[in-house]
Amino acid sequence: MAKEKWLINLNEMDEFQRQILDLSIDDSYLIKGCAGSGKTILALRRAHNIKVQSIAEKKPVSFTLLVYTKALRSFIKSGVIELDLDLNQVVHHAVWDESAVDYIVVDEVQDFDQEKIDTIKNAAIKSLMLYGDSQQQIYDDRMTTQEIVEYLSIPQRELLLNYRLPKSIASFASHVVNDIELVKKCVKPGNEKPKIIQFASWQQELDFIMKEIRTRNLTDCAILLPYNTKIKAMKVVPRNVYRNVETVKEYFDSKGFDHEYKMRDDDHDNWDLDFDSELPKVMTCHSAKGLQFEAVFIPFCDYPFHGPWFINYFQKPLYVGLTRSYRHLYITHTNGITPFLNGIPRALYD
Amino acid sequence: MPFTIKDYYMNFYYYPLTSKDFTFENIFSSESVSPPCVYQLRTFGTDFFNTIPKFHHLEAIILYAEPPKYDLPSGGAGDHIKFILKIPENVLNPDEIVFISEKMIGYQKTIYLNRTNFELLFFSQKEITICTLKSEATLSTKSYKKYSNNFKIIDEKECQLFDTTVLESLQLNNEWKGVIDFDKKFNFFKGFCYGLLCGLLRSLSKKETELKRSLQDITNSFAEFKNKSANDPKKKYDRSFLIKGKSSKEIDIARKVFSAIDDTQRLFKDNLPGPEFQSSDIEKFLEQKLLNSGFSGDVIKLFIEFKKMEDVILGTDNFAKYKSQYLQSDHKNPILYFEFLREQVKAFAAQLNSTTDWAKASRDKASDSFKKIMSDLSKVADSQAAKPGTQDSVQLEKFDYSIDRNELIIQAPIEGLTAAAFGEYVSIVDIILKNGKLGKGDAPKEDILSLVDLVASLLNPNKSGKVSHLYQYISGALTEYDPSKVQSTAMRNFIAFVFNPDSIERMESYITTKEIPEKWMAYSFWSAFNGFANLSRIFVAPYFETNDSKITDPIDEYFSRFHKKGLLTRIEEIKDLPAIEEAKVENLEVTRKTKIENFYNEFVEGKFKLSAAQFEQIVSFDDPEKMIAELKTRHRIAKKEGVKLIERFRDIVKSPSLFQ
Repeated sequence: MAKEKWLINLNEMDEFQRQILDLSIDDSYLIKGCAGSGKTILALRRAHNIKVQSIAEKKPVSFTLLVYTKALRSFIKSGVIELDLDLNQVVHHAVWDESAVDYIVVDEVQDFDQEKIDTIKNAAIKSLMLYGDSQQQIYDDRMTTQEIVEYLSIPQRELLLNYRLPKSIASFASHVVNDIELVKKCVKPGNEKPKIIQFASWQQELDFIMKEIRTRNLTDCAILLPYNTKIKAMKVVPRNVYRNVETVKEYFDSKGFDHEYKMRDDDHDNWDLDFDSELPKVMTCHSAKGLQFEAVFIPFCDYPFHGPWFINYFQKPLYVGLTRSYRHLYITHTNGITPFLNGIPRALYD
Repeated sequence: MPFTIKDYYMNFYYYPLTSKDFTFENIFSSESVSPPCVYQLRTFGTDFFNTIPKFHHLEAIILYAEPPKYDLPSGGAGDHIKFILKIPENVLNPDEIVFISEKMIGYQKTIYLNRTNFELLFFSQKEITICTLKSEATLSTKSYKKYSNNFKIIDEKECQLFDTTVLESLQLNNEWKGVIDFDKKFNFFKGFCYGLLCGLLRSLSKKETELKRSLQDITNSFAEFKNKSANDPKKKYDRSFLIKGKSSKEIDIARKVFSAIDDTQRLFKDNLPGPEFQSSDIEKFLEQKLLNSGFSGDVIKLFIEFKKMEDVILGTDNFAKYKSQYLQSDHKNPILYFEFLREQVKAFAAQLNSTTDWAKASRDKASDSFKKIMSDLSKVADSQAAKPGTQDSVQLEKFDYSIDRNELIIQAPIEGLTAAAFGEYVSIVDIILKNGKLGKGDAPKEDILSLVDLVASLLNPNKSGKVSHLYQYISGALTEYDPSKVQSTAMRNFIAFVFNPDSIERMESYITTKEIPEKWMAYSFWSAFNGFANLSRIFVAPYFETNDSKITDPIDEYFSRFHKKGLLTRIEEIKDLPAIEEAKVENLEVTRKTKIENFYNEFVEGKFKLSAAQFEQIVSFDDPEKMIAELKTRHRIAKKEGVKLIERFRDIVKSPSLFQ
């Protein structure tokens, strides 16, 4: 089990993050943070501080850490245990009993509707700490973070920088959707450029992936595809028979390569990836939104451009996939690299 | 107790501090305190330090002859705590003291702290609790438990008023280069030392490693089971493990979980024997609990019988609930955790094909309980780690350290290693000490490549390190690399380190999976590169989660030699020591030459018309194709034979085969 990833690394923190960490637990705030700003770790640390106060004052305090997605709850489970917090206090919004507690900490507040926000406000006896990012809103009819701040009359703090995505990967990814702002937000320089490697067949691409995972003993990695199933893939383009989670899963099974996979894009209740396991995760780029991995493999990047509709099917998900890695990024192809990656300056990858 | 009665006539100095900006954590991550401006200049550890207006000065540690009365700046957010560092005057180098006013001095060097030379004075026990507990969630802050006797409570009335206006106009100059240079070198050297000590302990902790590896196998197999069943609910995963004799993918995946649990339980039982679970244990547990609550024995017996009857009549399993309670109670027998673990897997599996809210909640609850038990078992495995001993500092005495040259000086080899292997190891450490990681964030790839280049060049002076396969692989010129062909233990550990320079946990996982021996080498490489200030509290816990002075004091005493005022004297002393380090480089050359000679004697002499010198010249080429061509053209050895010979040579004489 990875313990160190849940502890605050002060040596890496900047002034903005330290200021957030230092806020009093008795004051309410909304912390607006872009993707990769460390909101989740800060939310956990806040919960830990509440627990410390309770011990120091020798009186029990109640709190709830409310999350919007099951994925997030699953992701932070081991962190909750490592910090010796009670898993029962980390609640998915759908099963929250709305009982009043001293402190409420909310992650991804931008996805809650106004009614829920009212309930949250009423349930917090001493303070609220809300973390969110309007840019990552899933639903259009929700309040923006600014609107929430005004509605609840609480102060706001901002984390404007991305501490997770290395500049070396951001520079590369920003060419895919022409997002110049992305690199400016990134703090981490990154010690590795993305790799683009060609193979003779799609099977060889997957063989390479398995070998690389074994050579480097990569225990936190994902293989990201454009489609879930063969049927879905072929509906769009008949030649996409292998560009999907189902095919990769079958190939890995045939090679006895242990892995986990996710074949649905939504936060379906049957969905369950275990982030404490060392097994590589196979999923679609879309499913990987909000997650991060030490190593990301994006195989089969040789699909040609078919038309403007291709942007939503490939370009945007590809961008999401590229920005999931905080260290190694491997792009493999067989028949010539996809046009989305063709124009990227040679100096930006190996 | 840090200060004893013989210190009664000692003068003490006081440095007012605040918990703002994680000052407490900062002090205990590097075991030191420096003038505030040093933090931004030093390029390792934290680059910030909170200054209290009117009481601090950027360019010196302002020390007061009495505990000063001070307030924290108002208007800032956060619940900040005051505390005061108290140090005896003999910690200070008199030559470095700057007189400011009566009862106020400045000190422009880093003060290195250990158990015997400071106290932290807080204004209430509650504040001690808050500071210490908060620090537990910070990665690089070493455990305060080593210093639990150093925290004291002071009354505000003991504090004195000071006129600090002189600080506003105080101009201090210092050539910081010397201070920074020393602090930097010492940080990496101290990192090496703790890497070596903690690494040696971990090398001894084979039990702990095995237990943890097997726990990870359970996590992996349960993850696979949950994942496969979640994605393919039509398959009968729920009862798969109950079907005897049949085999299918679903059943195999389910059984894998229980098999992993069984294997781990056996391992735990071998190492931590305890009584097996029996159902009568639940009754005894209930009995005790109810007796403690004031119920009589007779009534309790009736209650237990009633519950059993209820289960029979209603078809319930109330005792299952009590079993969970019992297994979670304070019984101290880790073997029972496995019983509970199996329960959670079954509880999860039982709800697989249902989509009701209740079923989902049950699955989540089982999954949560599973994780909690795994965490508890992991702590049990931690407890099996080798414990530090009072003689551990003896390992450090095998090395001396030249601050001047930033190199180790071997005093004695580590047991179990040949002189050649040890020399190879120390040479690598020296390279790393001279090229430690600077700045924040992950180690730049260029720095890692530079290390590989330097190590390769040292071990193979005839070739540039840049042509080595490891260099080419890390730089991206090669897409494949096979570390299993590397024979040398030091090199295998070096590879483990360069593959994982930013996470000691990932390196640990790599070492365990690849079964690399003498893993203390990799830990010491990692720690020398990252430095003491960046070492995680988890890694160095054996030496910091104890306040046994017999363990901690000899180590601190060893370090204090390097930062006491007699530093120059130390360098002079070092010059008198025999030049053992020359043997290091020599040994490496000997190693390679010896291997080539041995190979020649065994596989070439008498079989091919080739002298030893000619053979040595052939194998000095980098390219195997060229070697084979030379064997054919110059020495008339058929290509087929040449290929066989060179392949065998490369297989056997791999060192330094990161450079194959």
